Amino acid sequence: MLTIRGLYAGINGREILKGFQLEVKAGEVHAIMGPNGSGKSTLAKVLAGDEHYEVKKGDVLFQGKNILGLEPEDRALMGLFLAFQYPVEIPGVNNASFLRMAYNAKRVHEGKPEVDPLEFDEILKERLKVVEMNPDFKNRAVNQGFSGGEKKRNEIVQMAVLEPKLAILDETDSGLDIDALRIVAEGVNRLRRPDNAIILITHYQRILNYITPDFVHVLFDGRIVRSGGKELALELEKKGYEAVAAYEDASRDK
Amino acid sequence: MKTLREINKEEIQNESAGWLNNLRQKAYERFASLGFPTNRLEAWKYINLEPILGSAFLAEEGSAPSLSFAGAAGQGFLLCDLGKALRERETLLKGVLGASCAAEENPFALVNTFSFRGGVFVYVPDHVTLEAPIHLSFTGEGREAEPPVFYPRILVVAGKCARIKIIADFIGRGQGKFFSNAVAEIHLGEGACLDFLQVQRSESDANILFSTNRFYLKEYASMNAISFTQGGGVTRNETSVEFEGQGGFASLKGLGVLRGQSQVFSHVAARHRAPHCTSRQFYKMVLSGRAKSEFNSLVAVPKGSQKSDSNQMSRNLLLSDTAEAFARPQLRIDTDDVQCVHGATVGQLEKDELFYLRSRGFSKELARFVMTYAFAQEVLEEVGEPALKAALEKLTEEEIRLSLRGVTK
Repeated sequence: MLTIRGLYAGINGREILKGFQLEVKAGEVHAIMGPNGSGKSTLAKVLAGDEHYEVKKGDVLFQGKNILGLEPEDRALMGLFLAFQYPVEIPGVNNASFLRMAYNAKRVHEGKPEVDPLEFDEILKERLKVVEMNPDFKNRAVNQGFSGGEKKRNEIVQMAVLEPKLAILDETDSGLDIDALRIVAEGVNRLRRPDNAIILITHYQRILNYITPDFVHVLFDGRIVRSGGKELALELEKKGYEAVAAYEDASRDK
Repeated sequence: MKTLREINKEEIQNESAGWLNNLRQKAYERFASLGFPTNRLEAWKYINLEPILGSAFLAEEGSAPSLSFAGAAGQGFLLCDLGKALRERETLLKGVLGASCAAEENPFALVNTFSFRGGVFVYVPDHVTLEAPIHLSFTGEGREAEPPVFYPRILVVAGKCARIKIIADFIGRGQGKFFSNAVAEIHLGEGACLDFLQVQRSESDANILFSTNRFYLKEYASMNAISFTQGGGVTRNETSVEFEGQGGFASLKGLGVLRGQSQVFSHVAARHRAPHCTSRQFYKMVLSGRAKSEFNSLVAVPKGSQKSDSNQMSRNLLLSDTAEAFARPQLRIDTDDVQCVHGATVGQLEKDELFYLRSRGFSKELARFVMTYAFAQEVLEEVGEPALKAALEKLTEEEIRLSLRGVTK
C-alpha cells in the first residue's frame, strides 16, 4: 500500500525528516508516536502534498506509484486521505456541498456519474452515523464555528464519505474530551477494512486504548528509532520518549 | 459639439413650472461655483475623469426607462414617468425633487438636476404595503460616433409606515461608448421600510455608469440596499443616508466582480443626524486583471446623536498581482456614547484553505472557484426576490469563472 524510503524533508530550509522509512500494507493500522518537533506533522503534510514543505530526497510509493511529484488532489483521488490536526475553516462554503463536491470529484475520477444533492443527502445520512454527528452541521460552513471536537469529527465524516485506501490521522485525538475521543475512535474502527490502511499519528497512548494498532513506531528527530507491537505504546507512556530513544541510540552504537 | 467639460447654461432644461426652473437654475449656479472635480480632491482621487469630461456626448431625448410592477396598483400608489408626474401631480413633487440641491457636493449630481429630461416617480401613500417589487430598468446603447449621455432621475416618496421594494437595473448594451449619470432621491417617511437593489451590468468597458443615491430617513424608517456591479468600464456609485429622525436603520451592501480594466468607485456615507440610529456598510469586491476598486466611506455622528451604532467594512479579494483595491473607511464623531466599528481587508485566496480543499480531491480550479464564489455570495444572500437572486448568482458565477481564467474582455 505505502512504502516510504529514505525520506528527507523540511520547511523553510530546516530539515525535519531525516531518513524516514515505513512500510504499510493493506489492512494494517500503524501508530506513529513521538514528541513535539519529532516530525509527525511534517510527515502528514508531506504525504498529502502540502507545497509549503520541501522534499530533499527519498521515495514515497503509494500503490506502487511515486506520489512525491503529484498534486494534492491527485493523491486524494488515488485514495490518500489526511485528517488534519487543525482542520481549516472555509467561510461561506456549505458543509454538505463541500462533502458532495469531494464525493463527486472521486466519482468522476472513477468514471462514475456525479450524484445530485438529493441522492447525496441519503448517502450522507448514513455516513454521519459513523461519528454520531448532529445532522444540523450539514447546513453550516465548513468547520466554521465548530468546536474542536466537532472539527475532528468532521474529519472522520469526510473519511467516511471518501472511503480512502490510506487514511493518515494527524493527532486526531488531541483536544478531544474522553467522550468525543471514544466516538471518533469508534468511528475510525467502523471504517477499518481489510483493503484499507490507517496511519495514526499521535502524541499520547490514550487513543490506542480504543484503536488497536498492528504496529507502533517511535519517531524521534526525523526518523523511526524503534518499532514494535502495541505494547511499545505502553512502554513509551511509562518511560517517556527520551528514554526509549536514548535506549535505541545506545543499542545501535554497540 | 461641446465636450462635457464645456457644458454651460444652455443645457438647462426649461419647464413651464416656475419652481422647477428655479431648481434647475439653482443647480446650475451651484455646479458653476463648484466646477468639475480634479484628482486633487479626496473624493475624486483615483478616477480618471478625462475620458468623461473630454468627450462630446449627445444628450438623449428622454432616458426612456422601462417600468414594471407586477402587483396590483391602487390605494393611491403611483409609478409613472417623471415628466408626466411633473405635469399632472406637481404638488407631490414640489419641494421634494432636488430638495437638498443647495447642499449637493457632487457636481455630476448637479448636472443631472439641471439636465435631466425624464425619469421615474414612485409615490407610496402612508401605510401602504407593496408586496411585489417595482422594477425600474434603464438601458443604454453605446455608440462610437456621438456617444449618448443619459440623465436618469428617480424620485421615490414613501409615506409613513409604507413598505416597498425597488429594483433599479442599469444596463449598458453594445460595444460603443455611453455615459449614464443617474440620480435617485429616496424619501422614507416615519417607520417606512425599503428594500433597494441596484444592478449595474455592462457589455463593454467603454461604458461609464455614475449613480448618486440619496436616501432620507425619517424616524424609525429602515432600509436594506444592495448594489451589484458586474464591472464593465468605469462605475462610480455615491450613496448617502441621511438619518433625519431617531431610531433609523440602514444597511448598505455592495458586490462587484471586476475583470480586465474595470473600475468601480464606491462612495458611501451615513450621516447620523439623530440619536439611536444604526448603519451598516458592507462592501465586497473580487478583482482580477488590472481592475481597480475604491471604497471611500464616511460615518458622521454630530453632537447630540448619542447611541449611534455604525459599522463600515470593506473586503477585497485580489485574484491577480496587478489588480488594485483602495479602502478608506472614515469616521467623524462629535458625540460620546456611540458604537462605531470599521475595518478593511485586502487579500488573496487563503493558501491553507486551498490546500484543504485540494486534499479532498478538488482540482485547483474548482477550489479557487468555490472559495471565490463563497466570498462573493455572502452579499447576495439577502436578495429577497428568488428569481433575481438566482440571476445574480448565475452572473456572479460566470464572472468569477472568467476572472479565474484570466479573461479580460
